[in-house]
Amino acid sequence: MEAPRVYEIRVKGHLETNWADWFDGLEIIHEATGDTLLRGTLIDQPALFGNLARIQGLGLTLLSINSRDEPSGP
Amino acid sequence: MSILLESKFFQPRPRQESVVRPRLLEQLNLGLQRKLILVLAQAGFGKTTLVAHWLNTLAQADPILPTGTPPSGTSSSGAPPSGAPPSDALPASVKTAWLSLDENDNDPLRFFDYLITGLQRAEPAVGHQARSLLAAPQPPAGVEPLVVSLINDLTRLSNHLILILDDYHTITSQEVHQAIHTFISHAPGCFHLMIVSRVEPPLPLTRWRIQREVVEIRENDLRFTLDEAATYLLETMRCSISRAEVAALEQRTEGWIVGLHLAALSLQSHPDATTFVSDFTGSHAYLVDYLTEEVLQRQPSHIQEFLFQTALLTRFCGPLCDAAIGRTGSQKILEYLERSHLFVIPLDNERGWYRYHHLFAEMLRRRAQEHGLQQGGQCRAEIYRRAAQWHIEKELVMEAIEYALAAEESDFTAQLIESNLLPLLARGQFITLLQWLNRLPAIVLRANPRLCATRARIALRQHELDEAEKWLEATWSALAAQPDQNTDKDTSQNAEVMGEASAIRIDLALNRGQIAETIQLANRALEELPESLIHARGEILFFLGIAYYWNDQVAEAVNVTSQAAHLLTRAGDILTALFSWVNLCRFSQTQGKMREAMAALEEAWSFAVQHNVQHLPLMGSFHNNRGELLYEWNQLDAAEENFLRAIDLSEQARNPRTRLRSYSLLLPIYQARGQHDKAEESVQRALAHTRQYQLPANILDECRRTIIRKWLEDGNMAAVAAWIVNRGLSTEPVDAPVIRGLEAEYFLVARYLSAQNNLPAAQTLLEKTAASAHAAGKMTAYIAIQTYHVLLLQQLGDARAAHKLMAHVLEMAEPQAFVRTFVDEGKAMQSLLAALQPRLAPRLQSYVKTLLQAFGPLSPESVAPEKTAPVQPPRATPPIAATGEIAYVERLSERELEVLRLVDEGLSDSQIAAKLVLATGTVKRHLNNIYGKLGVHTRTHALARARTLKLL
Repeated sequence: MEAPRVYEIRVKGHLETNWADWFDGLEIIHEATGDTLLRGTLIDQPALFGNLARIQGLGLTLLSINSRDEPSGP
Repeated sequence: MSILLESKFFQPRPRQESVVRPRLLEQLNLGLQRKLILVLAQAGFGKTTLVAHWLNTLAQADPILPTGTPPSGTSSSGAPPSGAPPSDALPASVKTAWLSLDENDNDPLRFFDYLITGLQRAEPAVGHQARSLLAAPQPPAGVEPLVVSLINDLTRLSNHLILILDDYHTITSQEVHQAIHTFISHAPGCFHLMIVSRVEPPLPLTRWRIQREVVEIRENDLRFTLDEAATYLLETMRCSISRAEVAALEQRTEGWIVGLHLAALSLQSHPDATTFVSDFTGSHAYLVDYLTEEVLQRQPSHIQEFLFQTALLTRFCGPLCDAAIGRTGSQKILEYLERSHLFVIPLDNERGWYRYHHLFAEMLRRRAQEHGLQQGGQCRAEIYRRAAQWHIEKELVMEAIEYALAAEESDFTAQLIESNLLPLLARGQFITLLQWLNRLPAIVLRANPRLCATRARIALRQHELDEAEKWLEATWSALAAQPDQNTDKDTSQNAEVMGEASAIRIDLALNRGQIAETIQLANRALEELPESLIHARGEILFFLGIAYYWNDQVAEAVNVTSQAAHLLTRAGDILTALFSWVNLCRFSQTQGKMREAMAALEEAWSFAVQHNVQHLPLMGSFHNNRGELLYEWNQLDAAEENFLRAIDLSEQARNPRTRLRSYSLLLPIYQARGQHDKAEESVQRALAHTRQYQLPANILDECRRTIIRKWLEDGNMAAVAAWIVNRGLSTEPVDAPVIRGLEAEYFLVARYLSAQNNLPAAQTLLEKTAASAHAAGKMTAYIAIQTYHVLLLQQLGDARAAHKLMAHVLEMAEPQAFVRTFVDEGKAMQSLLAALQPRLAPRLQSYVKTLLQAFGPLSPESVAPEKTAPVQPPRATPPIAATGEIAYVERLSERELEVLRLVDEGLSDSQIAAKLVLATGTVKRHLNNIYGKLGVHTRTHALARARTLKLL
């Protein structure tokens, strides 16, 4: 089984936080640099690509994507 | 003949021996209680197989009821289902509609064309209105009206309907996503949308999950478990490997089905299974490449060649393969491929159609290019050309054109497109057509007059006027360059194109506001074009009518527009014919022929009902015109209802022009009722529109006039004076020689002068203005001007002249039952009429009696009417007695009845709004109208009253 992973997607500019509903399960964080970090656990590849498609659909500039294993709970 | 890609509707057939996956089927069954079923995974996870299998179990277990609750008929609120219509309680059956999407479906209109057709094939009663919307000459600006109309149809279903959108990841258009969002939000409980995609669609899934509106099957659900992998490898694929090796493969592929599948195929002929299994590693792409190559290598060369060649075809059956690659026995090979699990997906039970698995097809095409197709003596273009030919023979036009384009056979493609233009245009497939035309080499396109004309027409629809001009010129050059015409047929075809080009030319001039040129061109064209070109002549007459009207030649406008209505009806152009009737109403109204105007509207209405287009957004101007007539006849509530309906419709069509007119026409109603807040709100909305949109000057002028009239009444003289200056009007009657065309404006200037106590100037101006309106045949304006003139004469102390003019005006107004023109002049007019009444001829006496009733008991000192009746329509001279139009005030509209029935079902305002796809505010408005008409103040009373009246 593929385990859900934590993704951090960085896009240029500040994205309004009311878009959170559309970025399924991702938190919208405004960074001091003026960019926006979308962070959260995505359960599979379609979920990741879905979020990327939304970024594209909104005409946002994608800066970077990082992922790591979800930290296992205590 | 089909002008749709038929194979997009083919539903894949489940394979006999596929692994049964009860855990997933159960999850899918839950979908019959949800609005949305999502199947999400990357390529190769067995999405299509699972869905095909599930649909098959539904068809066999039919009627299937999951667990208890029937689907609710209501809303997106997530509330427990209540008040579901009884017909929903026991679904007769589950019906399914399959649609495979591709990149071209990002054209929203094309997307909906297929979606509607798919739904109709499952449920023939659905989508007729949406279909007629699509075919409209002015296509809907957005797909929203289509969505609304489809949802309304779906609420009437008595069974479950599942619409499967396969390969939804090919959709990138935000407009399509938005439409799907609306669709899901408002669809009734018996409708289920299934989205099969590699990418999560941009929908508010989080919200819907909380509301339990969605069932999801995702990658991790689709992965084969160890048991499923064992069943698959050992039973389906008959591999002879150990249980431990199964476990190893399952682990290596992480349950990825295509990986297991390829492994099994390789294993079938692999000497050493253990080594193979332990070497088996790598990414998906690597595995596919590596294993497919292996699997291919093991196939005999004629099968390899068959695979490379047929991979060029999107979907195929035996006879198509035979024709395309010039061989026989393809059917046998396809059956062999299916038996050997070689990546063909069977589509559609009877017809023997297949497609390759996406991953495999991509890989084959790449390999085919590397290996070079010339191996078999077949070049790609030849295969495409033959495939096109085969589809022509089967009358599958869309596929034929796609293959012809792929073959780069331009002349052939151009011919093919040309001979199918009419059905394509009738379906509103403009974007598809445009894409095709753009793919043709310029030299081929420019040599074909009909295609050039089509290109010009498309440009005109998209308001690209210069582009339209360019292609119009190309049309004329292409016609001129035609070789000698050999047959009568050629000649008549050319004449037809010439007719079409003339109509486009005239439409273009009209769009540019070149009125004089439009009239000149149209009259010349009508002289030159043969009588046989009914449609072109009809269109030209239609445009000419508008030009005449704008040019103040109202009688001519009426004349040519009624000819246009008849010709266009004969030619089958329903919507332009309908517009002709609506325009005729406007023209007759201007001429003061109110009854004729209403008759034209009656004609338009029955015409619209007959063709089921009465709910289309383009009916907005119909309702504005009707409201305007009803207002003059003092049926204020009915008039208001029509304007509000026009606003609703124009919002659907995003048509600011109609909406602006509605707002300005509402204004006098609120003024008449003394609803000053609402009046002010209308003014603000209208002004906001004039700022927000670029609108034609004549529309803006009309709107400003109603506002100026209000300002005059409010005493806002500074604003009026500013308008006079900005509009370039003169306050010196002798200096105003160009009254023609500006009668309505100078009428307002005269009122302004009179308010400034410059009575002689006002009077001179009124005389000139009245004469000008009379000369132009604008009798409605003439009557209004003279009515006011009477008051002015009275003020000037010339009672004799005033009375004489009053009698003259009444004489003219009586046959058409004008009311508001008099009533809107207020108390002075009321007193004058009351004083004058006894001295009039008997016929006019009864007319004036009606008028006085309409004034109502304004003040104690004004002469009291006999009865203090509420505002009544002029009963003495019922406008259109035969049609029952007079009963309109009391009658509830269809929409209001609909709302009332839902109230009766116990739904709240917001539930009704969701069900009818309206704003909650709109529902409240409807309710208020219902209360007003029924004379009640609460829901309970409304229901009781409706029962007494047998409305429920």
